[in-house]
Amino acid sequence: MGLLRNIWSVNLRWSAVVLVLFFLTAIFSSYLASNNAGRLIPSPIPYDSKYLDADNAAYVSPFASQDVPSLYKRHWLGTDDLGRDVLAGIINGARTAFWVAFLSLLIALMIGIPIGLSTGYYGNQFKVGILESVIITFFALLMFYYLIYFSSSAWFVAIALILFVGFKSALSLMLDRFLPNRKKWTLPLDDIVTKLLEIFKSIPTLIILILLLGTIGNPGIISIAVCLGCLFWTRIARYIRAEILAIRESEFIIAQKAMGSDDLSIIFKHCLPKALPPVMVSIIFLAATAILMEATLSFLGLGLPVEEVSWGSMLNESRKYLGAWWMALFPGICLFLVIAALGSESLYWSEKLNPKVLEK
Amino acid sequence: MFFIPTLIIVISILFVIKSSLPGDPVEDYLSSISETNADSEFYLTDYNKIATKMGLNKPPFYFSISPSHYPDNLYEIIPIAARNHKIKELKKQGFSWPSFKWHGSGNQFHVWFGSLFRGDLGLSIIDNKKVVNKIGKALKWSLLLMFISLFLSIALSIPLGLWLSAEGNRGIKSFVEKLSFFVYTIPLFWLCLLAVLYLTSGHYGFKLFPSIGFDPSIGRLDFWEAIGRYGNKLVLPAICWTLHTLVYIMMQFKSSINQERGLDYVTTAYAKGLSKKTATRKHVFKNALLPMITLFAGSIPGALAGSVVIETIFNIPGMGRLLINSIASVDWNVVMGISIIIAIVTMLSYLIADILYTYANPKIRFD
Repeated sequence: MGLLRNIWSVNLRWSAVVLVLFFLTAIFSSYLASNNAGRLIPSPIPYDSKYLDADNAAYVSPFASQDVPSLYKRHWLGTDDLGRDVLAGIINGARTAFWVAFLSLLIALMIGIPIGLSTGYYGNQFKVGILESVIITFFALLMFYYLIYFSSSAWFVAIALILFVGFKSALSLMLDRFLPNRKKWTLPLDDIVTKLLEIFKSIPTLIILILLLGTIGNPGIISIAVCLGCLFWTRIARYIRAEILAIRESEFIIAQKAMGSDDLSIIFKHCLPKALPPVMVSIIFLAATAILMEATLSFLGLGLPVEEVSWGSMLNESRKYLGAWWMALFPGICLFLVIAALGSESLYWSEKLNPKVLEK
Repeated sequence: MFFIPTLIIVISILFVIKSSLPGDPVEDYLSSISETNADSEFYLTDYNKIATKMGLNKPPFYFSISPSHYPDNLYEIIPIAARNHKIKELKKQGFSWPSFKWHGSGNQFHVWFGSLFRGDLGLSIIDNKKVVNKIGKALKWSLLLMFISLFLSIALSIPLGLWLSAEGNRGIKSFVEKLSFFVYTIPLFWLCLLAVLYLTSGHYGFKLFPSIGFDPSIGRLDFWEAIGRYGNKLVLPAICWTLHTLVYIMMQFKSSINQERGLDYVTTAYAKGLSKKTATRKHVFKNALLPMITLFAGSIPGALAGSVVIETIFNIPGMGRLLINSIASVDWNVVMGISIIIAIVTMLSYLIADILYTYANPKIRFD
């Protein structure tokens, strides 16, 4: 980590600029590059990523003379074999990269935080009432059975999951109210989850992603993000668990317990806010990994369909004709800048937030 | 020893993926070997023969839990399209409670698992060759390239790391550090793409290296003969790959040395009157190498993933490119075979790392 310290002072400001630009481009991509149909204010780039400019097809270099009516219509970064504007592709590729990173992290956090929190806090002493675990297992199995054989809608799955979580918490509350002294058994939660993390660690990420996307057949942004999220949650869970293990022994938690706070409020009011900032560092780093993974998959021709432009798929297109240096250079520079910016931000904050760990 | 259960779990996951693949494997196979029309009278007989051979008329697992109004022998309905049609019809009949059915050992999972143990991965649908032979041929190229680049990066990173952690030449060293940050952050596939673009053709760059791609006749050559003829094409990919792994290992080694230097025993060594150089050579170096063991073994899975990218770009007939090509041509037997091999290698390398680390560092003993 020592290598980055002397360039942070320069890089930090620039990486922040790059990230803000990336974010704005991703959010306003449809305003920055569009074909101006039905629009009051013309967009800076008069093409969208799908527009085929027949006059400038077959790899027109940015410096070559272009068959365009005005300077405004010029292809500033050249075109590809079908006459699509490279700059418009880069702008729309930013949106793809952003949404893949954002959604995959959201999913990873949604799975990783609860698992990390509960394993870290309870360890191997997770106590569950026998009655409710039997009821919940029964309903979970029934739900899976119903989902597999009688329903195929994604919305139904989401609603069923929400209903299921609601039902579980309502049941626990009811039982706590009416049967406070029911029998409980101890679940070795920590052992189970550590073994699970071990298994996930021994699966090579890129290979399993290739397989999963091959199974889906025609993946979109959401399915790529879901696949990435389902692989990334282990890292978040691991970090959160490690943080909570240290926090749970500290005195303010013991004091809270002595004052009679229940576990849930301790976890969410005291453990989570203290554990989250150090974990944020790895989350930023995971965002870079997600963007890189998506680009690599699209580059290998396994990622997004042809209609969805991505930096990786643009780089893949450039392999068809090695003379088109502009197609290999510009999307790659964008990819490099975003990943480098995320990397140096995450390293900066990791030193700032836990100096002891990374000082050496 | 968590190795065997993990392997079984991974293989089971692969089986689930394999059996939930879209499309009909028999149809893919038939369309790949002959031009038989789907309407022709021989089609169904052929289909039945192939499907029976593939074991598609067997139950998928030892038991099944399905709605009670599903017929017992649903899995025996042979054209898969007809089976799916039947399931669609059954779905429309509405909800019914689950029923448990036991199928015994004559199921697809059992057969597949058994054949895996015998080292039989089935036939490739493209050329009807044995998957094991096909992968074995490709694996030689991947392993050769991987070991060249891993060896080079280890051999170069240790002296470089030592040099970086020593005193003097601050200017050059900080430049090298900045450069290595730059190289490490460049996505591997873009690095290779730029190398191909600027170093193999005279268009914009220099024709320093031979152009990429192999003669298709390479499949007929003996491996060593092929290396002799086309070995020069492996130079550029090896350089790209080495660069990418080198900088990471180098920086890790440097920080490992710096970490050791802060410890008490090094202070004692200085107090004895050793110079910084001698202390590093005699005391720090050995201890700083310890965490490197894990790093080396841990970089093998990453290298396997990297080989997919490198071989695709440089058109090397290795395992990674075989994987990508097989996915493109829905040759799932090959894909599964490669995945299993990669999973086994990954797990083995972590296991070896653990064993070596325990062996080298007596402070750690696993229970």
